[in-house]
Amino acid sequence: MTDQGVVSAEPRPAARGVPGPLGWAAAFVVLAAVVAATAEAGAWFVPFIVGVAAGVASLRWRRMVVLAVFASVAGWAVPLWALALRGLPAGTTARAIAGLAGLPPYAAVTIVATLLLAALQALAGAWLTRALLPRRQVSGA
Amino acid sequence: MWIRDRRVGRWRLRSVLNAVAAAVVSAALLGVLGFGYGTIPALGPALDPGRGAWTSASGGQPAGSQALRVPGLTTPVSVSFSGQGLASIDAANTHDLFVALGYVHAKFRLSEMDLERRLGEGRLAQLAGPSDLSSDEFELRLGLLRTAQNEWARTTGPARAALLAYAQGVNDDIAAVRAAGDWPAVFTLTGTYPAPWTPVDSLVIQGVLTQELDYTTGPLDEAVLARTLGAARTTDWLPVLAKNAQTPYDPGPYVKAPLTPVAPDAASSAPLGGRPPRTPPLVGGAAPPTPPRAGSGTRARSDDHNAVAVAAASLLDQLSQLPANQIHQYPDSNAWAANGPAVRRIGGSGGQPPGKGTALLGGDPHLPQTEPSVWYEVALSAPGYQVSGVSVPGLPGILLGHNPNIAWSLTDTQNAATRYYAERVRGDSYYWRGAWRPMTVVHYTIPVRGGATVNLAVDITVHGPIMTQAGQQMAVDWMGNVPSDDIAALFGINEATDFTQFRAALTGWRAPTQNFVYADKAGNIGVIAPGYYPQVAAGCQPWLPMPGSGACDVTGVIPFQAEPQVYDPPSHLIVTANQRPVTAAYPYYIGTSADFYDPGYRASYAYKYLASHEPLSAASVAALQNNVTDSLASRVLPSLLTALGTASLSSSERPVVSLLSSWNYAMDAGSAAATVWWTFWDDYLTTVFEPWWKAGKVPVGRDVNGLAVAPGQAPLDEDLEAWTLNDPSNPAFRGPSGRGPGSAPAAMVAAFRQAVTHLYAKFGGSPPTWTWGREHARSFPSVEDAAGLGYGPRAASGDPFSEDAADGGLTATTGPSWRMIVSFDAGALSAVGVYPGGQSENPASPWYTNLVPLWWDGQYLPLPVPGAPAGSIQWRLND
Repeated sequence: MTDQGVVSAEPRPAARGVPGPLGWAAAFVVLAAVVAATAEAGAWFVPFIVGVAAGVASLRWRRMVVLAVFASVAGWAVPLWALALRGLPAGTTARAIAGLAGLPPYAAVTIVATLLLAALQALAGAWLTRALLPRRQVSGA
Repeated sequence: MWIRDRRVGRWRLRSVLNAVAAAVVSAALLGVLGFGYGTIPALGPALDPGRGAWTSASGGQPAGSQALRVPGLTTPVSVSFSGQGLASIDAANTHDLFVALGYVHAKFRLSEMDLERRLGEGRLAQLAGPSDLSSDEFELRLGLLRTAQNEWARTTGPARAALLAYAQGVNDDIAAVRAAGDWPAVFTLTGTYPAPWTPVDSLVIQGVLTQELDYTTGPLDEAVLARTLGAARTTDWLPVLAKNAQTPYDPGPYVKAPLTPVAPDAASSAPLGGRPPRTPPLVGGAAPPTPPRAGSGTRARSDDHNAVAVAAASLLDQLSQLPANQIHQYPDSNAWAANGPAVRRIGGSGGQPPGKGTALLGGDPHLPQTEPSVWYEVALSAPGYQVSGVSVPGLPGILLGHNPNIAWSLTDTQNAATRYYAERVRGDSYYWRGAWRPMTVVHYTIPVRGGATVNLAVDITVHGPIMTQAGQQMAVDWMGNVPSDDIAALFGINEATDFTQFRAALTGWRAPTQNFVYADKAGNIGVIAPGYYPQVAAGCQPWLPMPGSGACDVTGVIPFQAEPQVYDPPSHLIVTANQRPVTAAYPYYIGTSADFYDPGYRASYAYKYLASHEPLSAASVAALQNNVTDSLASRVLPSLLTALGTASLSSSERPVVSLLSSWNYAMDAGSAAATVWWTFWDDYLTTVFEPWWKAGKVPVGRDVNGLAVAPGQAPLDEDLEAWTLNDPSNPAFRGPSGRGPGSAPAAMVAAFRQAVTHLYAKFGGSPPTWTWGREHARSFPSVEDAAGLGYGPRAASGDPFSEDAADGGLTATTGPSWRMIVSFDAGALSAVGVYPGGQSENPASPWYTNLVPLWWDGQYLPLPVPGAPAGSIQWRLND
């Protein structure tokens, strides 16, 4: 459509400076660690901030949004995993939380709900950034 | 050009819409996650894996030995736990003991305690939302909080010190949890955290227990029945004295002494500083009284029976919306004592002759069975205070248990302690003793989760709070609103060494009226039922709502020395099982057969069983506590079989009769005859009474427990049993149309056929497979009524008439909440107990339901011994 002088809704992917696999992995680990550490401090909204940051970064690296979502989910999964590693009854606790919340009393319900919150926040943050940031008009504009 | 502009315009529009949508969705998501919406909690902090509800997992790990800081202790305190979680607290003084008890209770039951105080203080809706608003309004009207505040204002001495120390311990735990952030999940999920604990909170919990045991709707039900069935029939079928044979534990002779005045503030339950005096002032100062006249602005005449019935029905409607078990429903507790030659002597000597120094006490209070339980098992030790048994989270002390010298257990006395008054009201005044008096008005605000705060004004007359304004303003004069020194009484019996001290300690006990069954190391046994038994003038009808004019006010209560009591009876046996405790010769009114007195089946059977198994041992008491014989079946079944013997039976009915013929009356889960019996009895009641109920249009839905025709409706069970055995041609069998079965045998055959048809349809063609366990189960729901957090339902033995009672329907939720046996053998004490639950309220804890299997199998654990470690897990508490 650009040949008709119409704008493109999507930013053009950067041709240069694309991280390699190690770079993506490092970014994933760092983001997940940030999310996990801040969750321990009670900052439950950090996945949203990570999503916002990913939205900005996605102008240059489109895969950042996907990475941010998975890193947020992993960041919230780490404390849960740590609970189990410390010998705490994470599964039974999950079942109890589901029961108390009026949901079907299965551990999977709470675990999925928890991780979904992280994913939704990251997605919402990324969406907000990408919707607000100025888009480049490719030609004729 | 214009095409490009249009496309650019569309792109811009889409961009704007996209940005707006993203902003709205993000804001909504963050808003809901951060602040919640309606009854949806703030899910962000609630499910934060580092700080949210997940942290409650730490409370689910097995307890380990550790040192803990508990501010307020004057000396270190040792707390030990057995592998099953039973606790023993050893302190250097009673102050530290109760600080430690408060701390331990909160450590294991904080959300249960908070829930109970919220219930009593009308703050459930703040936690759960609009669904619990009706409960809050009811409680604030009734006045548990006002009563607790009144009680606290007059609590002195050791009870005051203990309540303060206990509150300190609870608050120490709350502070520690707040610092660590590992709240029980219910707080994190709702975002509503517990306020500091106060002594008033403990007294509110005492009030909640009192309400659950003592607040009844009998007069309301009777008003509805009188209106629908007719007054004469209602009086005949719900008589003061039951028609069947009963075995009261106090056979007399009785003392007739002048009434004791009711303590101040008994009726008003008004807040401090705002309560009306016993003789309220006249409206307008000393103006002459103005008698009410028709059309003078009064809302209803108190003698208008229709209006009273409407008001009763309205109040029953309110009560039907309360959480389950908030008011008294089932009479199912047992407590037995035996001594002397009735008890087997096993060991010890002490130079005493045979039979001396031997006594046995068995107690199993039947209450709603929940997870966690209402009980927390613990031994308490401080100089001069050595007690073991079960405590109530929220209260200091041991409610049922033993000390080195005595043991005691409780059953509910069931007496009528709730009086309803139809008030004449004009504006803000009510008419009493010939004059208009101003009502006291108390205002409350009720925070509602996900809704607007609700304002509530409670009008209080000299009789008590106005509970309904529908049809007729109805006030309630409930003895549970009398400030009662229960905590002081509890400490008195915890420290008593003989029956004299035990009895003296109970003089201040006003509500709930309980049968305190007693045994001691000297081999004595006894029982006394302290509490307020309100009396009204002759000619008044306390079994119905009464006029509020003053003519039928409570004139006093039965004096302590005349209350039901027995000490060392010649039979060497005492049995209380919620039966009417006295005979017809008792000179005071204590309620009708509809006041939840048990029909007497359990008491009669227990007397018979214990007498036939002498000399008794702990094992024989345990066997009786777990016995599921239906005593009513043993009385009625012979008549049924006789009736069936003369009937023409079909080939499908004869095998069912064979089942019944060879049955031992045990409601075993594996018994098919038990299923047949229970279905028959249900159908027999229906066959006889339901036509009358339909003809009278009894509004059963207003109070199913009090109005429905069903097994466990004590007066109906008693009537039908008595008619079957002694009056088989009673007119009730003819029905309202005159075309009913006509006699007990005919009604039994009809009911049997109905039952058999029903069972074939439900369970199929092989009667031996109709086992009771397919029809009947027990379930122990969680206190939050959360799915999956309770225990069961599980196929179970028992029914409401068996010693191991199961009440609340075919999936029973009420039964033995604690089983205890204490033996004194030549002065040596041994005690065992078990309850169907666990010491921890955390569903993830290994101590959540770990005691249920023991309870289910009829096993017991030794009670922790005061002053000795309960087990190897040790906590060291230090300031």
